[in-house]
Amino acid sequence: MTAFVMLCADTARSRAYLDALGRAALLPSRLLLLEGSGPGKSNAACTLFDNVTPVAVRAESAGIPVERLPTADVNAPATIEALARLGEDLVVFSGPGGAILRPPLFATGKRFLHVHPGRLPAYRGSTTIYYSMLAESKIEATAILLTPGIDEGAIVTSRAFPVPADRRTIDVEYDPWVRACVMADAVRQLVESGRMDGSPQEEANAETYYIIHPVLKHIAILSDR
Amino acid sequence: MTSYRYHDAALLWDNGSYHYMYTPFEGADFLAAYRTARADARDALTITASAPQAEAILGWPEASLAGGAPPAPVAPVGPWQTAAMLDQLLLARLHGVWSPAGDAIVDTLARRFEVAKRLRPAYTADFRATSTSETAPVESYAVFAFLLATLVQPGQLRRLNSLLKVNDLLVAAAPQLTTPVHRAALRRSLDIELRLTGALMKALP
Repeated sequence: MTAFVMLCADTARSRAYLDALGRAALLPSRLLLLEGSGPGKSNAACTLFDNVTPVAVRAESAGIPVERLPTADVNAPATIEALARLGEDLVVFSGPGGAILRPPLFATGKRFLHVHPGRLPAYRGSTTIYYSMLAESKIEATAILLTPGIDEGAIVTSRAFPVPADRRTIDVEYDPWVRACVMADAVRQLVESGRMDGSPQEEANAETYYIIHPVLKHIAILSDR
Repeated sequence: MTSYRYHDAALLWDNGSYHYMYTPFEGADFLAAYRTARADARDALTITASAPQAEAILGWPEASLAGGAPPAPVAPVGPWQTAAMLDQLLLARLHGVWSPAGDAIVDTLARRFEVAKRLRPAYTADFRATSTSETAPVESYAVFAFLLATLVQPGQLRRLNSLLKVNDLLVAAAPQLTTPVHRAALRRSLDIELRLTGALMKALP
């Protein structure tokens, strides 16, 4: 089985990833922690995953070595140097929200696995979980191997999920959880096959969305469709 | 009592710090506050002087401008001024001589607006801003909002999202809109926005 590392900030998403990967017996060989970048939106307890235990504590208790990087910047030289030293090719990526990987990171030769909360390429961009709820009354997440083009990487796998009963939990709980489920699916597929590839996206079906306006967000949350 | 605060002028125009990421959920009262605030803003946009363009805007799509029609929109081939481009597009829209190039220009400006939170005074042929520190005149935002509003079809969430944001900015700046055409453009844009969001809200329990 191919080994992989996890590059993350201490966010709800990273905690959900460790939870799902642990349940699937697919733990990373090493965790690179972007210090000073978390916790993010919330570290309140939730029902779907352990959002209270810091990722470093959780990793170390599972016997995963933790390397603390002296930066919250995923593109910082310290991050690039730390990654370049490692033998693993696959990196589970869970950086701070909105972080965009720059060319020097890709020049390390690593493959960065990311889960986008929307069906690709139909729902590229930001807050797509709300857009797909409004348009289709469903939620989907897609695992991709990142490229310099935002949300344009090859698709490893995807999965649809029901809209949660309590839609107010989406930002802090449901979004991290659905991403974590798909991340576990994708890691299993890649490490078991040993092939670091996916299917190219059909550009003709691509649509990019931007941060959802609070009026549309409220309609998405209050709707029962 | 819940208020609608996303058209706060100090946050939107003065320092540009406002953003829409992780906005809090405020319950159904928020939507009621939004509709009241928008309707009040629309109703405050009184138009006293008679102007054919303003009347065509307020009556769009049933009304149109008479007289010699301009050419249909074409893709820019060189640098262009945002205000002049939008004025040309407005005339074309009101004369009913639209084209896919018009859609493409408005959609690209919407993407630029979503990323930068501003329209710039000028762009190159491939839509790069010639200055990233200046903003287009507020009148251009009003024309842009009207054009965008006329293009949103029911269910087109991407365009509606941009329309909501540009109308937030415009409501905050409404006192600066002094001409009948620009006041009419914002008034009609708010009308259309309210109809579109109202249709989405009809599905709420």
